Amino acid sequence: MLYREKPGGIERALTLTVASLLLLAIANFSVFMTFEFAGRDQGNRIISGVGNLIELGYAPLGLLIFFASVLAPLLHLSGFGWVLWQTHRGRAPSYLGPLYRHLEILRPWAMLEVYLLGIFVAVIKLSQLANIDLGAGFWAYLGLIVTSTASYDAVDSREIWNRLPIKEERVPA
Amino acid sequence: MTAVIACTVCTLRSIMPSFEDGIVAHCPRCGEHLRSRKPYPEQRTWALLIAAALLYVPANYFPIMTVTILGKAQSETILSGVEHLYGSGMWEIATVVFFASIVVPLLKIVGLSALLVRLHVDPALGRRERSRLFRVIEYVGRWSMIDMFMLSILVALVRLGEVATIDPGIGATCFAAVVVLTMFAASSFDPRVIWDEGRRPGE
Amino acid sequence: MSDSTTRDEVEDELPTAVIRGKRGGRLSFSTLWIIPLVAAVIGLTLAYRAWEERGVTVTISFQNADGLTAGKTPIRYLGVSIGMVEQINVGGEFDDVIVTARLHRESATHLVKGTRFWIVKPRLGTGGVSGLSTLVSGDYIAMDPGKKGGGAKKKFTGLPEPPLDAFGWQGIRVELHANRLHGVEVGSPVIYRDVIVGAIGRYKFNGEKLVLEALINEPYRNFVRANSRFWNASGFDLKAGVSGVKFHLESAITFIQGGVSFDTFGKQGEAAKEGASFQLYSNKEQSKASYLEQLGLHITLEASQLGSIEEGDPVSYREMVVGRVLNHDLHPDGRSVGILIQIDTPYEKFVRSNTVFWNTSGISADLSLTGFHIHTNSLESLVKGGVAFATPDSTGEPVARGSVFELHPKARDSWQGWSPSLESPPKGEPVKLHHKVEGGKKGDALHWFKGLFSKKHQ
Repeated sequence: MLYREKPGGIERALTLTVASLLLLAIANFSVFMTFEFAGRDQGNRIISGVGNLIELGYAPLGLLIFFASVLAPLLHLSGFGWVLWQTHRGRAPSYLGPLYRHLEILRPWAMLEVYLLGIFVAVIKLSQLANIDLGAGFWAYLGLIVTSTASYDAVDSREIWNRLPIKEERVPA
Repeated sequence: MTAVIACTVCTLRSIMPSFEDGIVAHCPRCGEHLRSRKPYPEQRTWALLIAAALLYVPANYFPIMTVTILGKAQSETILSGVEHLYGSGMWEIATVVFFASIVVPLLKIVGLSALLVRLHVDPALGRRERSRLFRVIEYVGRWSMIDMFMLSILVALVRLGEVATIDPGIGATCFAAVVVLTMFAASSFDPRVIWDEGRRPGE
Repeated sequence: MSDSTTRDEVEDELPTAVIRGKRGGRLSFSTLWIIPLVAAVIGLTLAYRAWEERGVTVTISFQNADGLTAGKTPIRYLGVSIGMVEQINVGGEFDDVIVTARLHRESATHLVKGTRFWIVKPRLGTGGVSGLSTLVSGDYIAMDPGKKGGGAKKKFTGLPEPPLDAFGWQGIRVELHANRLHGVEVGSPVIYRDVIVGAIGRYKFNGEKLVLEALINEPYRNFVRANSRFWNASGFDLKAGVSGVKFHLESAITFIQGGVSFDTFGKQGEAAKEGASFQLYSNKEQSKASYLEQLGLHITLEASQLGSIEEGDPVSYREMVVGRVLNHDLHPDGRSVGILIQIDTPYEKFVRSNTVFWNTSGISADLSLTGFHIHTNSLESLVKGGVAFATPDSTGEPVARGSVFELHPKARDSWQGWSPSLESPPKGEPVKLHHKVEGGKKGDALHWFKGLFSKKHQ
């Protein structure tokens, strides 16, 4: 089976994408996790890890992680939402096609689930030593993974491609 | 007879108006370069794979993080990290990390190399399996980043001054580079070539 | 702007690909090969750095490897980690432990002959408690580099204890000779005027004598003069005398750890030289006595019996202590006792050629026609014994060192009344007095009691 058209897929995908963006914002601006050890505690946001790495001189690594865990999801969700919105409204500006193509390239770099698993391993490692409190950010991130995956599933890419414009031929002189 | 090319991204088929040398054709819907095959596909993939292989050694030799507890510093490489997890009895996690950080990158490098080589040696054999292998490689690649994300969280959380501190190591940057390079290597590989008959290099 | 087109199209309604310009002739070599090149460079740089930073290997032999772990125990200099233990093996002869450690490159130049290594661990030693931080951070091996240019060395023998003069210790090192330690240990403090100015280092036997090494720290080195005297300040002195109990405790430290004090009596001599030797006296009195011994007037008293006189007993003039009994011995012919006394310098002038000495010990009773008289000099001399003297009003010549006098068993009444006016004798050679000695043996006391004079007080 190559593709199957799902009814109302685009609307569903759109809603889920918007929800995902909201959750992404919450996940990044709320406290992600609190680590308490020997009376000292640290509340951290996702961003903190990146900031620390850059401070310590590991800027390339920090930026990569920032890209994979925050920037790429953000760009992808925003772009995807935009494409969905436009096609939902029946509009088809010429840049949509290339935009969507770039989004597809970007997709593997939004490593939300991998990040979650990484967190999971870290938490397991640390929970032996100290108290870990999961903050709102963590749950938002979890929710984000669910909603974003669902939104990608809600609509088949062919459906979208079909709605994207094809350029008229321009014969060079 | 018109030449029809299918876009690799949006699958739109379009007509190639001419085949002059140096012509750059784009898909009318999504703008992707249209070529019957990517130019010198193997070279790019090889270049990226070799780079990844070169960096794989320092990635595993140098420590990816240093844990300092009460003044006593302990460096961990990827392998020693897995050992520790095993030793602490968390063998499930240990296995996951072992797979993600050691097996997967190796699999990608070796697998892609094998695919490339096999293109010229007995190209007709095991095509379906090789296609499948490629898809696996493509999909599984990003999961190697687990160790990197885990590191970033540990570094962020364990910043307790004298009591406990975790610092990243040079091995982490090398490892991240390996992951990125293998991801690019996989994306530069055009799986359609598996199905081509007896290709010559550079074609 | 453009309408979206549906998929269901017949072949001849397929759109046409968009052509946008030409590209120049392609290189047969993908520009992407830059990447592995960069990777190779990075890899090689890292490898080179790693190899370069491997540093040097040293082997240190210890008696015991307790607390050392291969791959974990660091080597530290001034608290900074400069290397790590790699291997720990039993020595070939099975009598020591060989620790193989790798030190950072920069430390290599400091591995010379005088470099020392020792294990730092929690210690309750003579210097007090040390190394407590290792309870938390783990034991480590400390390094004290020797003087540069001492000849490179790779094999070392670890010290069993932290050296006292580590890390650029400055100061003066002198030798103390003693018969016994008597409470002094390695690390015992060296004290000057109640201030700790150094410590005792090693000690060893030199024949039957004990030689201790005393390290005096740099700011105080000038207190040690060539004529300074050292004494054992360990424990405490308890002297029960008739005048009361004298309890002398130098300090709590020296009580527990032992200790050595020193001071310079009299005029300060020149500064002591590095490695100078000194006698370690048993206590302060003895050291002072040895000093005073050089001054003062030495006189030998001759008696038929010792009569309760002991070493240290006072020599009094007008019931004031002006000297002491130094020693006593039996005359070689066994018919009399010689008692060596010293009159302190300020009082030398009271002794003249016609001075009479008597034994003040005990009670002497006189049964005479005038009645029964009991003579005692004082309660002190009743218990302790001692010597007193008096000089007739018409004083004689001043006497020289080594003169011999008779020791009368008791004082005659007439002597008590003497009260000469005495001034310091004029300068000039005092007369040597030779008293008639029974048995016909003439000669001066110096010759007589040769052994006495040369005996050291210990």
